[in-house]
Amino acid sequence: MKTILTIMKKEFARIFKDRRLVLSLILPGVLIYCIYSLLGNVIGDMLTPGADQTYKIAVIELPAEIEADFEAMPSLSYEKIAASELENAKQRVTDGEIDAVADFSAFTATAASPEAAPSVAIYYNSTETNSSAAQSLVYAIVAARQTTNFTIAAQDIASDKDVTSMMLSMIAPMLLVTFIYAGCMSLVPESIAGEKERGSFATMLVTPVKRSHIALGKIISLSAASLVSAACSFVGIVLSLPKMFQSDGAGMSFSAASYGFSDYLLLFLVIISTTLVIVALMSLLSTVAKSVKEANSYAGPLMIIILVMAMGNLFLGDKIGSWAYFVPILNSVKTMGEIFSSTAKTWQALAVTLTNLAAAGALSFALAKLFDSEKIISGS
Amino acid sequence: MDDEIFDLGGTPPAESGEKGESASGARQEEIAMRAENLRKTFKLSAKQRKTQKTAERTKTAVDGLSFTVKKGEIYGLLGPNGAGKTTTLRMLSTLIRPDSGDAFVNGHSVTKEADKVRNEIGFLTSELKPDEFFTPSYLFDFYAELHGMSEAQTAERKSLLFSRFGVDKFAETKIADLSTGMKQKVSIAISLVHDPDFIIFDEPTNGLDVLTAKTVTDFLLEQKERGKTVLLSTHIFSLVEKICDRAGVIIDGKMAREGEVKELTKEKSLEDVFFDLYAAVKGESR
Repeated sequence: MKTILTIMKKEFARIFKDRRLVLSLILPGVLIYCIYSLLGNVIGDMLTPGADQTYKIAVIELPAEIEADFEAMPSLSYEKIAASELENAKQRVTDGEIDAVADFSAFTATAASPEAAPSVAIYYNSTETNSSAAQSLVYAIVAARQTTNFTIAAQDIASDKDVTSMMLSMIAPMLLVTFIYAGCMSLVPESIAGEKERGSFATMLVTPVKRSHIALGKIISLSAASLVSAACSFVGIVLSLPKMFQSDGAGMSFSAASYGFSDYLLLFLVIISTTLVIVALMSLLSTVAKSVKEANSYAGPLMIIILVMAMGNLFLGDKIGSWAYFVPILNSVKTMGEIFSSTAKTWQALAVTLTNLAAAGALSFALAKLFDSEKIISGS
Repeated sequence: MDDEIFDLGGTPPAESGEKGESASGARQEEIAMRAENLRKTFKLSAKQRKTQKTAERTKTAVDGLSFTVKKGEIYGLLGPNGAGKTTTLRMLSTLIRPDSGDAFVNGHSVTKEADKVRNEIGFLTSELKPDEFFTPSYLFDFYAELHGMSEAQTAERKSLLFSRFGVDKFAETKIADLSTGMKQKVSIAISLVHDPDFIIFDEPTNGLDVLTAKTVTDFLLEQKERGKTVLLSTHIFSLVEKICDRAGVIIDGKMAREGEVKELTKEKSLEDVFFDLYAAVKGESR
């Protein structure tokens, strides 16, 4: 028993007397609290209509009592249209001109009949956040007035391809970035911190090779290897998507052919530039670390930050402002999302690629400087 | 190559490239390396200050060290552990920068022309190890390429060094699977891949059996015969007596004494000379 305690004491001493290890234990919790709190607040703000948020809806044969409720709702702006304009109004919802259409014609016509089921139809586009919110608002107002024998049917007019694209645009960027990160994670710490730990890195530093060349050689080769890993994951996603979306019968459809050559080219450019940024970031951490173990412990918080950026896109989507195009990795997930939802503009994707390349270049420069630092390289 | 001239017994010239002649008109000799007032301090952590019972926040590892190594000689830096030998060699090999002072290898400043110095030297220390994942042959080719050597040059040099050290039989074996002695031989071969004029070896025979150690010392003597310059650090007196032309004794980062090995050992063994010096510097009686 005493020996167990002795070993435990030594292990605790090893962990808690090492400030870096202690930091790596605490940091993820602190980061999760800070980032998730921030994310929660942002999402909350996004989902709660602001004072100036107004939903535009078109209504057909609006009953007087419900019209009174609509009037009392400042966030609702409605226009009355004829029943014959229904199809046109649906198209306007699809185009984003209005957020929803509420058809009360069946409600008005059959309200007195207990046999027929009177109903209100609300048409909306589930791929648009505002449209979904408008549908919920109208549904809530009508439901509050609901009596017996009366149904409300919310009908999603988004096409299968729209829904698939939306889901893909939310999920795929996060998956891709995660896979790229996982690929880097298995290579970079071993290549840099591992070489430092084993003493083979300093052997390279006494050759006449420029530090910047060592940095670039490492980053480019590690990025290429990470890309292979990411490409395998990507192909896996593409091949599994038809099964994932049950395109054989359950409604939604997906085909890799839904996207054109230019979409894939843009995606490829964004993925390459993102990989370079992640590899460069991880290379910096691995250079500062004294061992592979320490480098891996630093990679944890970086993983959280990258995942939060990816989740930011998942939750906030197009609510994220244009500034995001200039934040490496966040710009990648945003642009990848836009490519998958077929809303990406070529110049934006190219600008994001250039931004990432510039960031990777700056990080490579910093890495070369670190390679010149004797404190970092020899730990003296 | 910017060679320097230095008279055998005189003071080194003040500036790189300067040529001098002794008052007696003694034979002029070229200088391969000149260190001028090298100084290097390291920060001490709170824990280190506590264990070393000092309030000083820095420790001076090398304290105004000046010495020269002449072309074609083997120079030994002798000193106890912690005297500053390895720190000095690391500064000369450009792995770390001196806080003040400078050193010139074949006329190139280690602080201002580090790239050129790296091209001139072959550096071996226990801190630098070959990547054990690879084979000796692969790593030899890799470092030859970093030094800008052609394939023909590399093949010729590899054949020469591998057969000299007996690495040829293990050229395609992973370094991780080699014995300690063979790993050291591979390290030596790699450090000399570009046939440098100036060889810096830190404790080259440490941890080696007598046979391997003899291979290394014989090789260094061969290099001297070929006109190469060797600077080595060691705490093994017999090694210095056996192969070094001149030696410098470093104690507490300062040069306590320097001279021809024959002169130093005229009256006493090098070991006795060292202990007398140590006692004089530290104020302790033997």
